[in-house]
Amino acid sequence: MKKLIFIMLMICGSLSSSAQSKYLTKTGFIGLYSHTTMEDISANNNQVASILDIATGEIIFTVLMKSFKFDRALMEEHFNENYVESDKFPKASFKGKITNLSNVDFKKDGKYNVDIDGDMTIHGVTKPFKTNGTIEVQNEKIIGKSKFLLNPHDYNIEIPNLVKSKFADNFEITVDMTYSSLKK
Amino acid sequence: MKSIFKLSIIIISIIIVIGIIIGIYLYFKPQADISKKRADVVLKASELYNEYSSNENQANTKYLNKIVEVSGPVAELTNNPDSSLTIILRDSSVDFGLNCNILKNNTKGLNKLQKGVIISIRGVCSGYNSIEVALNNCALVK
Repeated sequence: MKKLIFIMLMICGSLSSSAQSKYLTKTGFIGLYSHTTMEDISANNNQVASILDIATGEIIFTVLMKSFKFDRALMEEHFNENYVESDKFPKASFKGKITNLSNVDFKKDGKYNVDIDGDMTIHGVTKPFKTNGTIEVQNEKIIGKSKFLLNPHDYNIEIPNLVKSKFADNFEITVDMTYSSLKK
Repeated sequence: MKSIFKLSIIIISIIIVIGIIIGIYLYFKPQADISKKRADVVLKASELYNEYSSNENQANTKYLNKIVEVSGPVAELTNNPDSSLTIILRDSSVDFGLNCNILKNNTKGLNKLQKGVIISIRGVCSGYNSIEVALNNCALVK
């Protein structure tokens, strides 16, 4: 148990706050969607690991690229082998902070708007990233949701010319995470 | 001469049509049905988890992208936003284990599984998300 708490703290990168303020999910949901004239591209990942520290507002996501499931096997193969190169870059991650933490009362059930600021790493490329979302406190669980656009070109994801017209410039990303307290 | 010409046109057309049919089949092919495939390796859920948590890179060389068949007790069941089902296989004495995702077409009857029941699941190993080992396209082994 001590070893696991140590690993959690390492993941959070902060040794100052106790495990009491940390919330975890291992079944976080991230969906990606892009509409093109030919077809809709959509994939779902239900194995996102994330830790939220309600004392500091720090938030970390670890996303396994191979966990993105497409309806069609061929599209998933292209995604992994040609676009995100998941054998070379198996995980995407986000390390950041809720910048308006005082806006959230974690002791009171309710829905709060939050601003998030940090670094996004995809395909081996790290870029600063800012977005907003909602935090819902519900019965000792914390639900974090956000929706934003990502441009694959920002992360050196090459879309071959042949299929370039098939992709819109941006992917719509939907995040839906339900966190539970780390101490059980 | 004319009939050879005609014959070659017919043969080439047949080849093109077959090519198109194969192309369409591959294009629309859904996710593989893992329950019909043989496992590359069979082991206990706790063994797979321990290998990944102690040395992720080494475990990846052994298990990444392979079809694994794992057995262990059901610790958690989660219905996901896309109607897929997550079964966490984990001994009650530890905090983390295997995160097994079952696509929505294969979930019939599975969300009635009792916690603590030992089951066998076959799926593709997708790696380690830093907390648990991820298995996808999972199916219950009968």
